Amino acid sequence: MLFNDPLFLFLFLPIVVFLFHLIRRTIGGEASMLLIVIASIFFYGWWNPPYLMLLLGSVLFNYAVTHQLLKKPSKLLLTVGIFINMAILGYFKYRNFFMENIGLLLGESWQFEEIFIPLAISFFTFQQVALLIDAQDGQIKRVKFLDFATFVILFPQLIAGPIVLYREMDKQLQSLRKDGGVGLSLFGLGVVTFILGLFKKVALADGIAPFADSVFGVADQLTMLEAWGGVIAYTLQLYFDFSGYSDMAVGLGMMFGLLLPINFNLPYRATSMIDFWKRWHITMTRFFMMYLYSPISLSIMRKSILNDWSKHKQFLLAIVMPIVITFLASGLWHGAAWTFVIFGAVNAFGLIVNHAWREWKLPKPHTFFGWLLTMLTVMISFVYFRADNIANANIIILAMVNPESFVLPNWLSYYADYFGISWYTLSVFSSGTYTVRMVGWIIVLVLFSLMLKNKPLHLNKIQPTIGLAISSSVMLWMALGWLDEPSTFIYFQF
Amino acid sequence: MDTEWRKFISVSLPIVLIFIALLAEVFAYLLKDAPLRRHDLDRLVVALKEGKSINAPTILLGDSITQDVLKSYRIASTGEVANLTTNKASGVVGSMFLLKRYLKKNTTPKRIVIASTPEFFGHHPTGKAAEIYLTSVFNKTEERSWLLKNINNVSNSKKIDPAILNIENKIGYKALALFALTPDSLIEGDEMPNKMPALESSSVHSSIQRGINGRSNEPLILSKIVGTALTNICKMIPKIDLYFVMAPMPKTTYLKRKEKGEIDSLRNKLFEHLNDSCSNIDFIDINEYRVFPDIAMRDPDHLRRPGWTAEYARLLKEIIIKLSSKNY
Repeated sequence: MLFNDPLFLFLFLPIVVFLFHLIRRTIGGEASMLLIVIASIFFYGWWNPPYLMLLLGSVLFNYAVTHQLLKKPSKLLLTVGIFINMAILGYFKYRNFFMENIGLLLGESWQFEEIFIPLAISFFTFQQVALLIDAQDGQIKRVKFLDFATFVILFPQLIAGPIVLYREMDKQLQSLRKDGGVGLSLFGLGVVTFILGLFKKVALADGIAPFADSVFGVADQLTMLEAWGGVIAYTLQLYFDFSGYSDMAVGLGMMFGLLLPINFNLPYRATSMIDFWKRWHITMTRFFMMYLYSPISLSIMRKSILNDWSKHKQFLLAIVMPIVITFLASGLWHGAAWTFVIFGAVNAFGLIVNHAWREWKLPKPHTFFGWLLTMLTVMISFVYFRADNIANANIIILAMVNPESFVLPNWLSYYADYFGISWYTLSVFSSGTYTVRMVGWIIVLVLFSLMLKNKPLHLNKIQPTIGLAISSSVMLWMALGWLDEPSTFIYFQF
Repeated sequence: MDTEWRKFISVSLPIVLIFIALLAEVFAYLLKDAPLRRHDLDRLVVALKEGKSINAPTILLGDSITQDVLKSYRIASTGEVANLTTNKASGVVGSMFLLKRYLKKNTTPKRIVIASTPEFFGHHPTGKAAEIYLTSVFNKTEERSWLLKNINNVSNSKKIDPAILNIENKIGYKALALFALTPDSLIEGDEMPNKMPALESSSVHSSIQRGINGRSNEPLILSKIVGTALTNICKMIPKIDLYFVMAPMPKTTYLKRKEKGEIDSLRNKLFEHLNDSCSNIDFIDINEYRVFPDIAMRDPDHLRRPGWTAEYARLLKEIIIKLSSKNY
């Protein structure tokens, strides 16, 4: 079930919300939490019942390990716990990728059947691994099974995040269990945030998606203008798709009295790569920073201070190396393909340049230049993120920069002839109407991406005014009007 | 705070939602008779309804290769040819509906010329293109019932369709159309120039060449719905002379199709199918008289402008003159 599936919107969600609040009032918080767990199991099982066993098995196993670690911390048990989690993830998500590449190294071309990746395996695995580490480190004092199960399989965040830490949910879950927390202010905000997310996904992301698809579908026939149009369109689609999903998740959480962390904070306003990753997929960045980058970087930094390394060596080993490891891992987290590895590598490169710029105190570039450079780097990485393979991604990037691919569409032939520029009927910009529509979408979405604030960041500022009712109603009707077929969310594949 | 939000969730939001939905219904009602003006076909439909009678002896039907040419050049004196060309998405079915609408205001023509690519006859309308160029354009009761009978996936207009959930078609395009001028004549290009423009001779882009090479892979067929539409055209005007003119094809495509016998086969199928319903049919293949090299194309289906389009216009003009004098 998807959040933009009519079955979810008009049946599952109203029933679960109604029963949750009814049970909470009549029986109590614990029973209402149990309802969420059952509803979440149903939600996940709707997609593919057999893989429900994997999810439930993972929950039971990790709860048992957490319980033991809380009783008596043990590095061995933690290592075993992490290893088993990663082994399951590796088996289901990465086995073909690794085997095919090992084969290539040996000069063999092994072909494997396409594997069926259990939905959300990356999300629930990482969330539980973080919990195990926190339990070992004493960040968590005690965990009740109902709280643990709700934390892992809570349906608003189960499929595509945000990646939540137990330590930030602990008190909220306790409060929910003890009948506290859920006020109508949070419920009302949840409804408004959910509508905003639905609008972003259905009206904006799905609205521009056909334009991006039309470009990436004919990579080998693109001209410069088409390549730029398609890449910008996809950059906008990805943001509105994922931030729309995240807003829906946060909104749903609020409807059940839980405040989930936000995932985006106007990322396309970032003026540097460091700034960008503080604003884009915030909970994933936080996870990688806390559990991968920082431990590596800090341990090397300690060594460098003890051994009095040179500034260059320190930068190379304590900053460059952890960034490369973190972003290659983050790339692979997105998918078992070299395109994702390159996506990570491009971002790592951008971040290293950004850090070096700061480290050597080079003159600060103009804000606009910083923004432009950041967006160019991000867009290039997104080409690899979206393209079917590296060759296609390279072709698209080449079309973006190769002056020879600057050709005008036939319907601008008058101007092309006037300026002596070649023209012919283009694959994507084949008609003026289509091109004007695409450009119109891009302009509107660029403005939205720069101006539409991520609501939950400004909770206290939101008042239930008539203006909010009008804007929410317009967004809801627009989203429902375009709800033809449930299209999938880009981040569901991870 | 809770009281305010309670009021918001239980009163303000539902009332505003209902109000906006009602408002959309009112706008849709006010705009229900406003004709759409999204593309050339919409404009053609408006021109047939609002414009003066033409009473032309020759009706020209066809797909975008011909439509494209007729937008640039006039191939006969005003009033001699009624240009009802459309595109592949609208298809022969759309042509049939256009002809029917034309006949309501005009006298019966002597002849109909269908100048199109051979692929025009194999097209079966589906998906979004069919919605934009067929079902949303031809929505009179008899047209809808014809479409419902002959195309499986046409939505039934009787289903509940609130305006708020279909703002684009029920309000957006219609409101935009209010600002457009009402066309009072069919689309006509300029007079043919005395000095023909030079034929383009520079090489075509590799992607276009690939498209041309691949065009002949699509088999030429006479689809069932096109067959039915052609029969209807003949039944509409029982003693009409019907001429099929095969529009220019790039040489590579043409030779491959010719080699496979597809052009002759299509001609035979058309003749066989219309044998009982049409009294006089003929088939003219422009490509037999004039070779159109691959470099004549700006994409696999359309001619380069202005040289090659003018060349096709010249040939079409000659054919119309000869047909008019029954000398072809």
